[in-house]
Amino acid sequence: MSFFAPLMLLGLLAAAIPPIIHLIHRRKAQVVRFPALEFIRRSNKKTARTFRLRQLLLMLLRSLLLAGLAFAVARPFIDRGAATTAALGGMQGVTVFVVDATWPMAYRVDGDETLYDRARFQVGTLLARLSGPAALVIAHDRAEVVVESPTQDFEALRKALEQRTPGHRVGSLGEAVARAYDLLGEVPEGVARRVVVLTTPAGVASALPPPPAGSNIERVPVDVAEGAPLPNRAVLDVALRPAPELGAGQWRVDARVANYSAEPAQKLPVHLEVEGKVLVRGFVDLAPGAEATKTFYARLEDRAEPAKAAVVIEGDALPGDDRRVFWLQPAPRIKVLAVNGDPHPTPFRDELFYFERAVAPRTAADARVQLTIVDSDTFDRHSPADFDVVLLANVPAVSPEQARRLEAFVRGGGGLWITMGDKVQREGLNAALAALLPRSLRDVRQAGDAAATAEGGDRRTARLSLFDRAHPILRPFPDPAAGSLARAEVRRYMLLDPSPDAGGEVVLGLDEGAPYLLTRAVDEGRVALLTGSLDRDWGDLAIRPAYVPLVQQVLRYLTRVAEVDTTPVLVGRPAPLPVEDPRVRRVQVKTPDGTLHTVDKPREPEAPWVFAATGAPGHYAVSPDPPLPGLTALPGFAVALDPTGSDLRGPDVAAPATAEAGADVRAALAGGRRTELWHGALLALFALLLGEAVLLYRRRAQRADAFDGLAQA
Amino acid sequence: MTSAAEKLVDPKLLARLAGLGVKVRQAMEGVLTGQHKSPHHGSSVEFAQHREYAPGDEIKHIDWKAYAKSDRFHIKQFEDETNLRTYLCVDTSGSMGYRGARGTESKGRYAAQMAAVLAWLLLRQGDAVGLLTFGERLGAYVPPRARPDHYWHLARTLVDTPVGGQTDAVGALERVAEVAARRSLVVLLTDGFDFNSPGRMAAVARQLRRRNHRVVVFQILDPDEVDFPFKDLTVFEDMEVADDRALADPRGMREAYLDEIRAYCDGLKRDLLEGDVGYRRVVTSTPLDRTIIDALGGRA
Repeated sequence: MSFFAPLMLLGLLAAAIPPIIHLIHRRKAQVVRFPALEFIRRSNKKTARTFRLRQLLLMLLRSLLLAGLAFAVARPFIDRGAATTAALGGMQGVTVFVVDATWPMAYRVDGDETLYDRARFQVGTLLARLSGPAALVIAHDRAEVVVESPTQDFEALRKALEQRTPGHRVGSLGEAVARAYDLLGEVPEGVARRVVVLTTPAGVASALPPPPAGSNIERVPVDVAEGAPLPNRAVLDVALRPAPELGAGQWRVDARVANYSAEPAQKLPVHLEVEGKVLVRGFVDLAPGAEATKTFYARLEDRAEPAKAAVVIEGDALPGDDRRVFWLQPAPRIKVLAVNGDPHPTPFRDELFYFERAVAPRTAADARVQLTIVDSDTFDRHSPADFDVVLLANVPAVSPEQARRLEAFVRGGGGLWITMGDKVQREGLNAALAALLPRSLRDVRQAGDAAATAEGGDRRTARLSLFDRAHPILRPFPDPAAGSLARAEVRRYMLLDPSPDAGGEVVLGLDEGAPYLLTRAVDEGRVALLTGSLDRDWGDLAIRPAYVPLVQQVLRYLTRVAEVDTTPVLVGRPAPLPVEDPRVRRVQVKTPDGTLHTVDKPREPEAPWVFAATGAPGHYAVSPDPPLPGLTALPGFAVALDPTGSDLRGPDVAAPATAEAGADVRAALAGGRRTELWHGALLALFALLLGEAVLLYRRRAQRADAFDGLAQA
Repeated sequence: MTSAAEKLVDPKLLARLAGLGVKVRQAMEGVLTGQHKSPHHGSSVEFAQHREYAPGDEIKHIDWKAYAKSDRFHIKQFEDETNLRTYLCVDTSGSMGYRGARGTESKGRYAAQMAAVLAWLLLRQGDAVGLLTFGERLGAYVPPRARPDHYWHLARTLVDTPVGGQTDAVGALERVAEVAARRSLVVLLTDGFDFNSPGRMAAVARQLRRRNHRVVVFQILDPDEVDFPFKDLTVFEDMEVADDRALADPRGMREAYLDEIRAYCDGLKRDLLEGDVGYRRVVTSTPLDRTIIDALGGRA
């Protein structure tokens, strides 16, 4: 009989606790002067024997209970390999064991036993049957040759295996097998040579390097799981994208989740946590072998520095890939370049007077707008590429050069907002921005009846009555038709090309049927067109309460949405450090386990900053060393396990191609299969507990108040 | 009169019990001047005292001269006219010194208080009361007297008698048989744990009864003796015999103990009742006045 956790057998000493407690109690027996001693003496004569027997039995049961618990925790098993060894007569020749210790080997197959533990046991089983020398190569984070030349000192091999646990990388198995071939290259010809590779089913199915041509080396891949299915679910990667249309600081987090098993995963719990707290919970359904993307929307509340975040799924047998970490950044400001086509020395008559206040920090803290205002003459001095949104407010016309830059800007992902006014020259704009305008401009129209008179009380304005509530711009408005948006009066507006095939999406429309706000996607960018004015010249929308959220929503909608580079840094790969400030000479990197590393500025001017010691998955924080004025922290990076290791499934065909070659190895392993005894030990413990309960119950029943009658006599 | 004697029984308790009277079922020897009918008539010789008239007294016994002087009805009592002669036998053996956590007093003190209250009630109605304490040997003996101040003599004796030694209730009853020439009331206050001569106590009590004495046994027990509440392993030490010890696990032998003491007490009760001897079991957790009221309302 052997034990998985022999140290736990120390717990057998606990069997002595009940007798010790009994002896202590006996020594501490209190002395009581009592008048009816004669009755006690008589009772003792009657009961002492049975009572002592019962007490002894109880003590024995409790001792057995504690000893049995220690026995069960030590996880005993019977090795049925002895008979098989005799039958085989031992494995001849030189053997090199290659043990996979990459991170997937941390898969728990049975309780706390990992695939690595099982590989360790199988090596032990094979060592017991070897007739020749052996060597060991461990495929850890890198291939490690434990014993340089084959030896008969198997204890060194066992110790080396015990001292290691699965690492954090994959991919070293091939190199380890190649090293094993090298070790066997020095063995004289004529001696049987074999490389036994103990790995996952996926490792068995992988393209392991073949033995050198002409050599008689036998390669025996062994599925450590012994054909058992290894279902696993994993978070493969996480993609981040700002979602300004949902508000400042909003991020869209797309997590790719995979189900590597033959069973579907229904309602698999998955959640997004930030700084250790669960922010959003969700579920995902996964078909067998399928992947799915779970989208979260998250936002950093009142936080200026990046936060540690992770997407986590419900734990399974391989916990390493059940969470994927990343840094969640605070929202960047929306940079807006507003071109004022009708500036005025009187503030409230200025074209951008109301707009400027609508996006001012006091009213639009949520929007985080960084506004730059220029007039038509100075427009050329700024490059649209430096901004997220360009606003052409009542701009008469744009030059061909400006139009070209604007078109490139929009097609590259920028946002363009064009608003009307008296200054607008529709022919010029139609010509210059033909590729960007949702529809071409036709003419300015006076709202209401053309023959209306003030004296007659006739209607001379139009109202907003058409709302595309599904459009992201109107999403924050619970009921735009009932709000102040619908009460705004429009006196003049620009008529657009009414052709049926005209492009653009009408977000707002007037009760006269004309569109008021349109949007259009142009390649990666977006364009919005307001047929009214931003100020009060053509209507009173600017003084309606809905004006502020409408302006902010349009800006958010138009904001350049750039994919954030969330390509993960895999464990062991160098991580580029985004250090842009030239003042920084050295940075400090804090690893997930709290260790501090320093990285000096590269000597070559253009060389990138790189951190190489990414040995463990998790969040890595970066800060300048020493801290500089206005710069105390730098963007951190996240290191992840290689998701290719998450799929442990092997080939559908159970027997590998080299089955015949490793017949003796397989036979030895088949004979060496264990019969675990801890289940039986637990059953026995349960029986002991039951026995103790019965004894205690009987004693309690006897302690009932049998002498009640005497007190009442 | 000592302060200890005064403190033996709470005066308030005595005041609450003032309305009670001690009655004996059978006719007692003595002149019918009290509550007990006497078979002898006109044999009074020596004046003892005056007693205030109480309803039920014969009108012919009223001292009219005294009425003329004091304007109150008084009845003349003579030495031999005492209705009832009572012997209180109080156990003072070592076992009576036990007091558990729930007992109001030790068993010995409780017995002394009971004896004092009974004496006070009997004296108050003009009966003679004597006292005999006993432990391993006979202790103090106070001959019966009917004077009211005799109470203090009895109380002082009860307080001054120490507890200790083994129980010899048989010796005490035999002593009473010697000194009680006429039919008397014999009240035995003991825990009844006389293991040296088992069964003899009941036999002697029955003998007394056959000689026309009225005998009542109060078996006084502590609550701990009744339900044996001990739990942990304990060394029990005898209170009457030095160095007599027994180690026991109360949890294991409680049932047997309760069987034993129940059998012993039931046997004692059966032996006494079969000989027409009164028997009452008293637990010291019961308030004294409750015990007295129950006792007088029942048998005594």
